[in-house]
Amino acid sequence: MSAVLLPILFPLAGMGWALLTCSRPRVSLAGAMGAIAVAGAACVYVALVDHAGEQELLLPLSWPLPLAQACVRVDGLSAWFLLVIGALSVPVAVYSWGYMQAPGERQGVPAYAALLCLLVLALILVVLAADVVLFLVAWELMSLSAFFLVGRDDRRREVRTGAWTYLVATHLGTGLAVLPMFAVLAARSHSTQFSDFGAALASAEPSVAVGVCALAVVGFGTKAGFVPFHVWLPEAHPVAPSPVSALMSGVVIKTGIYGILRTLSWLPALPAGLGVVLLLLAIVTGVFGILHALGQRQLKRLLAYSSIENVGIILLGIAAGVLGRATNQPMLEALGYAGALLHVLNHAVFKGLLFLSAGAVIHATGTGDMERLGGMARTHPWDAAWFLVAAAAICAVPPLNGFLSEFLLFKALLVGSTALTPALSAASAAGIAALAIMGGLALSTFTKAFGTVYLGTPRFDTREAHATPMSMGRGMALLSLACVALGLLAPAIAPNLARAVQVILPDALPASGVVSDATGTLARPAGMFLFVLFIVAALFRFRAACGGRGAAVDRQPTWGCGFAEPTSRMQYSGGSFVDKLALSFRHVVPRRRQVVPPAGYFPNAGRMESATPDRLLTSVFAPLFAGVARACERCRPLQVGRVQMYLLYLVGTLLLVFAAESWYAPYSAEQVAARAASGRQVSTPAHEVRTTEGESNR
Amino acid sequence: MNTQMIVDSVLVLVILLDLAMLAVSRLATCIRLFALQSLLLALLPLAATTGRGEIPGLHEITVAAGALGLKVILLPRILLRIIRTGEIHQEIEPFIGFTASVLVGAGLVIGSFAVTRGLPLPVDRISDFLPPVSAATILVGLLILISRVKAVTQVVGFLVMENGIYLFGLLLLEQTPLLVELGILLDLFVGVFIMAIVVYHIRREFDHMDTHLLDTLKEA
Repeated sequence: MSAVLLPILFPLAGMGWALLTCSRPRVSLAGAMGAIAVAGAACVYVALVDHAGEQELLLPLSWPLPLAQACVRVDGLSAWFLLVIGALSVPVAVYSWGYMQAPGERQGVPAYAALLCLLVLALILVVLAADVVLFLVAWELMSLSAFFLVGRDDRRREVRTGAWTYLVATHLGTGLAVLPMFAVLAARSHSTQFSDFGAALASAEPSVAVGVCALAVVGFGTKAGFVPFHVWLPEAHPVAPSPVSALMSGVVIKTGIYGILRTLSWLPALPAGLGVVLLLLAIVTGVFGILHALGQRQLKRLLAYSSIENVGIILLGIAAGVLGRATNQPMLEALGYAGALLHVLNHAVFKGLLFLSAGAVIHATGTGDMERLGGMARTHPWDAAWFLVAAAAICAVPPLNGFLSEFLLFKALLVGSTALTPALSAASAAGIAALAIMGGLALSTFTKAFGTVYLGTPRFDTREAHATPMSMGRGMALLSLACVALGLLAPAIAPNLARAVQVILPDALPASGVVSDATGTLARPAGMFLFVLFIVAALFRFRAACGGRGAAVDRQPTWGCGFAEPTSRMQYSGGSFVDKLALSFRHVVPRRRQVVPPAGYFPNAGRMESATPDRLLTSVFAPLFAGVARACERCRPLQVGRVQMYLLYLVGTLLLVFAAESWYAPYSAEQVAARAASGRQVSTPAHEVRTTEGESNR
Repeated sequence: MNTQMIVDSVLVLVILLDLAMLAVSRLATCIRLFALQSLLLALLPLAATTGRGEIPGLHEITVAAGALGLKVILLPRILLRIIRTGEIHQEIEPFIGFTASVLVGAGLVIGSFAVTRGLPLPVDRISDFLPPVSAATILVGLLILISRVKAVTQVVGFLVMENGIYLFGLLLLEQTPLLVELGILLDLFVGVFIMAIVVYHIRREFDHMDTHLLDTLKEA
């Protein structure tokens, strides 16, 4: 048996176990989470060890789906995303064990366990599928299981809204763009196998290639969360249970990136203009995401907007890759894709950790509202440490993993801005500037998040705070370890990265050398990290040898400012911390601000409110969907409730189809004859053609 | 008078029966007209093969016997019995009046003649009328389903529609396996059987057999 089957079989078994033992929630949860953890480990094994030797592994499952046979393939790109899935699902499974035993989460634990297994299974199948039908089945399974997981706490209104928003968004993207894209591909190649698409599109006209790419960016981008298709992210991520948010943000939205990369691997060189458009889309997505994240008050909403920013960063890499392909700059191409892929992995790890930490905060205090938190570094020091690691990683602070992928992207864009024509160089330089701005804003966003939640004095009742269960801590520790390890040991997975990039690049390119050069650049910063760490450790040792730090003079509350009786309300709030910065970007992202200053000589009450509403949501999508709802409401009289009327609708539709058929007549005798004649290049008498048609009807 | 003419006149008769079913208001007459139509159709495959100078094979005989037993004898008896026990004799106030439905039916017949000409169909069919007549019968069956109120008439509409499908199946009689034909007949029997039971229960529960009073099931 091939090891590839393990990641598929274990979630299935876990799901069966969870359903069979549903009368005993703890047993059910334990079995299912164990299965997910084993499946995750198997994913990592397949990606790193089993797959390391061979380039490609094809496994036809003898399961004839309608229209196609299910087929599973592991190539470099799938293996890379398997690694991402495995790296996140193991800690999530460990974390879920503790999280689901919290008092508020006791309801429907077996259902949660089974659905989480289903989600992991669907994720694995999405990246492994080698034909359209299996891919779409897995894609839908993923959407639906994620929908049910998001809507777990369905008694709350905002949970229902978030879940439905997600479902509608993902189905609009799938139905309006992903399906048509695959239809075009299948029609061009007369096959549903992924392996046939590349050859069929190799000589496609530029318009077809651009069209397919645009459909992929819209369809998969809805899943990934590109602006303006991002609206479901800040609605769905905050309301989901935290382990699910971690998986959603870490892996589910990355399947959109996977889809785009997979599509790009089939396409010939695209025009440079498309690369510039993608670059602009990436800049807009990233800057929009991080500017909104800056102004958020709910911790998980902030993280959701930050996911949008990171997807923008990943798209920046993809855009650099497309530009490189268009202008025949292999180095730019390899660096861009490598940076994007590495950022996919890194973002899964640190954003997963951030969401798990947010879950721990909510578990401890019962709220994710940052303005009601504070000082948790004293009550929950380990949680604070894990959050700090993740926040530092997402801000690309060396020596953590986030730095490496942004390093690759900066390098790619620098190559782009020196080696291209002036116009394209300018675009590339704009990418550098945007990446730098995003980095700076991310730093202040996460400084705010960490500072408001963990530092200062508590704004909540510390006596009612719960301790974090051990398994939750273990899950977060695993991810923190991954953040550090990926930073320091990235060169070890550089060959895997190179193989993944190789899949996206066309065979025609003398790529292998370039790709390994590109991924090899990881060794330099990683080595530098080790050196710097060594020096820092030596300095600490030196300082300890010199007698260490002196005794503390006095302990005062943070932001005490010398008051005799400071209260927690006197400290910096999250909003006030970022207010100036958010205001300075108010022309880009409007900030709503209402100030009622204290008035008079003996002022007592004043008010100030500030928020960063998502204008795209409130003034574009909300009215649009309200209009759709009104239009649907108008169709209501069609529902008369009479059998005869419904039959009339059926017959009317049938007659319309019939009329259209007889007008368009693709199967009429003349048309069939004409097609047969043009196909065979010989003129065939009509009656003979009709005979063959009759025979083929048999 | 050769066989071709016989087959053609039978098909014309089938259309006339379609229109007659649209025109009558008495349920019993309607059911008898349907039985007559079914009888004509059941004999059609036999006539076609003998017309070609062949002896009807097992396939044709089985299909004809099945149609005869089921659609000419069994189903009409069930329906007539329902009428007797339910004491429902007339179709009153249909959604589309009798004259109007005959006119619409005539339009449908013309339309089917116009449309089916373009279809590529297997050669050596028994009559050129076959495709348009089968389409017309299907559409008339649908028209009965749509325009009539009484549940029994609905069943008749369904059966007429099936007659049209059966006619279309005659086109492919050589190619369709016997099992499929028998399966269709079995489906038909089970369908009507269930409908009869349902109609009986509608009457027992509501003391009438009007389907248009069932619309309270609709979502508010």
